[in-house]
Amino acid sequence: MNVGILTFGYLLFSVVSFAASASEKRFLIRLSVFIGTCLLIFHVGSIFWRGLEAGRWPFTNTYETLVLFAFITLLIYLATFRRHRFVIVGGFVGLIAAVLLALTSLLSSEIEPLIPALKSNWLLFHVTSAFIGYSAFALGTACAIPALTPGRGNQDIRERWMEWADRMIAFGFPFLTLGIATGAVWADQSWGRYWNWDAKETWAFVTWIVYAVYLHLERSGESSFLQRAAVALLGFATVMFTYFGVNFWLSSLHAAYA
Amino acid sequence: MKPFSLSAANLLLFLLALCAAVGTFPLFPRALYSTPAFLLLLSYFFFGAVFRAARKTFSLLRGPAKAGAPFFEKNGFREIPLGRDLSLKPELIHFVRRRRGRVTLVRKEEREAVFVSKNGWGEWGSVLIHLGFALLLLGGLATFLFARVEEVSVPEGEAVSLPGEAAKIRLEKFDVVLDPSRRVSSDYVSHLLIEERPGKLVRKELRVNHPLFVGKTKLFQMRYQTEILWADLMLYSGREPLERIRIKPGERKTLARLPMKVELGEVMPDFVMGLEGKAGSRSNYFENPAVRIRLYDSADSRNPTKEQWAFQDLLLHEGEPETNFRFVMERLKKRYVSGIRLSRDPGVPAAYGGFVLLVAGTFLASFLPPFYLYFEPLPGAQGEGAPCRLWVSGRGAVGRSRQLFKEFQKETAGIVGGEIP
Repeated sequence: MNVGILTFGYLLFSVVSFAASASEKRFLIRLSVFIGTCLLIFHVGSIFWRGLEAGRWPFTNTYETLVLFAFITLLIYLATFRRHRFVIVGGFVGLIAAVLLALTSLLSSEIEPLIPALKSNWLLFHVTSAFIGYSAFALGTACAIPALTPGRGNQDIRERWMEWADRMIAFGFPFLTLGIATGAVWADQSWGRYWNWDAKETWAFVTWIVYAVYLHLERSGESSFLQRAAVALLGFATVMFTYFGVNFWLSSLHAAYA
Repeated sequence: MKPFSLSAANLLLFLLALCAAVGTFPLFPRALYSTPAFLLLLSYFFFGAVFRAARKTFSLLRGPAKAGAPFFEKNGFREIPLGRDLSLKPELIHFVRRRRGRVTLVRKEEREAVFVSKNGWGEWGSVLIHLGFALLLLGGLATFLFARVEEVSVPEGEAVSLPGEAAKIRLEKFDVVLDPSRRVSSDYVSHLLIEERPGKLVRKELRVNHPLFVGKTKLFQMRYQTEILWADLMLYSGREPLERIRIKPGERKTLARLPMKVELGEVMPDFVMGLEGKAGSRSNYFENPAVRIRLYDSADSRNPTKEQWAFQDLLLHEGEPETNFRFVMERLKKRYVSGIRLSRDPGVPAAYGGFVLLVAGTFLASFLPPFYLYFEPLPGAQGEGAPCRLWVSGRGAVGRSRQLFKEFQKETAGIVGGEIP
């Protein structure tokens, strides 16, 4: 029920944000921020409640990580909104979050006890770091998409969007690195090998490489908006494949978890 | 394209990503990751990362301020001719210090320049990232060449020697700790008696996610199996016990009281009858055990004349005549077999070191993006009123450099002209 309310809330947030961006009316922008803030509070309460019921951190399966993903994406957006004021990005955030939460309807929401392999302090660090990274990349991609709009008159705006895409991706990259590193250490503690070329590990590495290329392009100062935006889109596609594709199509030690 | 240039690195990074991704699909063998071509690709990155880290370190130790214009041109700085002179120096210094930047006055060939830097430490992030990646690859190579990982199955009561060690381990007892819901296991615990060397015995518990060290070998609790050793069955006629028999799985024994032979078939730890009438097990835990009993007319008959499930209680179905013969499982003797992984991996310290440097480097580079302003007279210009130019860092923090420059323009009430290209 909570997830249903949240899904509806995010859709509403998305609609209001797009309307605010199109009309540039102050009232709508403030309404968008207000709805986003209410959603954030309700969402964190929902996660907290599930954690209390389960007696553990609620980040251990696909259902719970989908909820977490949506939450962190909104959190980062609202935390940075005052600086960038790209309310259109809020529209994309609302849509992304609504889709993620809608996907939970395909999964069981039952609270399952943890299997022995997941009983580790590394769970918290590994999962939260990885999803902070994923959420930042989602926002970076949302900022990069408008930069692809054609038209010479939009140069300044495109520059600003790409600057924020750069910042979001630069913010997410260390967290993805931390997620991979903590995952490797945990794998070493649990399975005796820090790297198995497991499908999940490998695709996380592929994601890391794509964003490393992005940052190389950004730091060189010689790449065009189109090049960076294309790499940002490719990077987000690898994030989605790492998160979903591996679980459903490839055999992996992670497949049973998230 | 130079071999260790950024363009070459980006191209080969994409190639690495493609190869790594392809290897995850079922049609392609996992052995792709051990092929000479893949290893060659990784070795390129090792040498490239070391080269980049070394070059950057020399450049940073030398210092951008001392290098002057050649450094800025090479590192993508943007030049802004200002048409103003160095009398703006006090305003610039004041402006920078209020923003906690660092000001260095540089004297070159009797000309004075002002070098402004902020978050200079962030430049070292790139060095750490490349060094960390190189160290990680080195650790990976050591693992690939020298690591020994194997799994042993140790039944309760038995011992195994650890390869490469003088030590032995004996599994005294194995526990499956169930979650209070009793639907999943909470932990697996191997109670080990370890003989580290002759005469030195120590007892330790091996749990999932809590490895043990025995000498240089690391032990990991992985999985377990259950072996059924035998079952004690009681034959009933109605409610009257007739005969007790002890039988092993797959064994066929003759009954004394009936002209039949009995065989012990499969064991269901947590018996449940499905909707289609098919027997199954809800879990691997012995919550409601049942064994399949097959009865044969003679020793050599292939097909059983009757099959039934034996439980721990005597069950009579409604309407069935009580003269039927039934078996009750009085005792089921089982033994756990613990799956333990043994690992000796000399690559672990280097890999861990690599991860630490990678994480530190990425945080440093991302959260302390360095940016610079270099304020110097134009070449050939001399004296107090000589026109100047400003170099603004173009890499990594173009936006912030632009922002800083615009703030400086605003502070000097627009006296400073120019636009960042």
